[in-house]
Amino acid sequence: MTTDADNNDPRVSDAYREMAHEETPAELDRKVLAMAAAGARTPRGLPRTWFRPLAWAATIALSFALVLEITQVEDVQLDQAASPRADADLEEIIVESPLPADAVGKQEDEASLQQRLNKRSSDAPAPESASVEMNFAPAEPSLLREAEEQARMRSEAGRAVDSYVETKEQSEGCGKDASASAQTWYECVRALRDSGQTDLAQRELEALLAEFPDFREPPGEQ
Amino acid sequence: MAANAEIVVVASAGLCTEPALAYAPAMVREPDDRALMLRYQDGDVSAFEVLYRRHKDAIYRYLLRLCGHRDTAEDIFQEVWGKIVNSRSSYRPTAKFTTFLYRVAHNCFIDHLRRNKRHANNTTLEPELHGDPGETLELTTERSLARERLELALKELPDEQRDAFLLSEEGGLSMDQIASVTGCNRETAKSRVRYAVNKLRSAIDEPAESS
Repeated sequence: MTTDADNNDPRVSDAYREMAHEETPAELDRKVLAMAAAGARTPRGLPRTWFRPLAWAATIALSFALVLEITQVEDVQLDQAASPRADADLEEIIVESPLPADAVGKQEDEASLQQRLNKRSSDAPAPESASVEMNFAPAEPSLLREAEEQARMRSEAGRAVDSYVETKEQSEGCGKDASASAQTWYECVRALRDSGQTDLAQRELEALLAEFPDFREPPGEQ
Repeated sequence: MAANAEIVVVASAGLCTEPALAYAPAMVREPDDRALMLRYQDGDVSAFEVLYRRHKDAIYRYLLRLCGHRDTAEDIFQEVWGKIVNSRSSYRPTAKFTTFLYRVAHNCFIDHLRRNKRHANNTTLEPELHGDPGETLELTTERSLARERLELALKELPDEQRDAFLLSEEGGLSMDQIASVTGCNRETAKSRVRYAVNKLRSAIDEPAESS
């Protein structure tokens, strides 16, 4: 095994030293030193000695802030789970109300109709086709007041639900299939009337007449 | 002056970063290359000047012998120190500064070769006659011829061997450092230096053998 020293021959080194004695030209020295001086003047950002501690401090601070944020969010969620929320109230009201979201549509059940009528009773005189509850109300003023109060409470509590129902009703109608011909469209209008959606039926009828101006509603059904 | 004479700095500034002292006064100690570079990092231009003056001639000769062309060597020399200046912010004192410096120089030379594919070994170095006034003409001529033979032999070496030899002689790099600079393993670096030295020795001994 050879060592580094084995590779060196003093005679070769001496001969090389004797031969190689060139020195850097003064002009080159001047250029390089000017370049170094210019380089030292240019800003180079943060000193290296500060860079690493600063990076560590920033990392720790950010990690701490993140952990704190996560902890606070968990606390808030736990608090909300423990105490009733406004949203939960509304959900309970919706659950209490006899109006399942799925049932709102073409076939409103009796409870839905009841709720709608209750709402109207708070805004306008009760229609003749009111529910059974409303039918005996005029005979008993106290019961009527109680019913009105109940209706008002329900109407306030279920305003969001009614709004949703109305929006749903407005968005629904007879659809493209039904409006393909005047006859099918009118049948749809009749179905809407039969189901109690008179407003929507009226709008659909107007649309029908606008689309088919020659269409005449059968006498006796107007 | 006498006190200065006691301090014998090794002839080649690049051979080592510490001065070799024949008689060492305790307080005399030159700053380490890495410390100088770190001081330059902090904006101390005088530290760079010390560093530059310590290594400039060795690097210059290394590039001169490697290129064989004075103008090209000077261009690469400027490029090398420009890179050192620019890298001051990212410099880490992990390795020896000479290793770092010669690696930059080596890479600059390789880049130059790639840029100039037609780099030819048509050296324009003129042999300089440096004879002592007291020497006889015959001796001066013999020395001059020996230098020429060595110069020619060095020029005829394969690039890798010449590079390894110059890194050893001018940079004073160890085999591990030469391997690191040239991107080969230690054994390869060692064999390159060995082959180069053998060829140069043959060139020096040539007249003696012929006579």
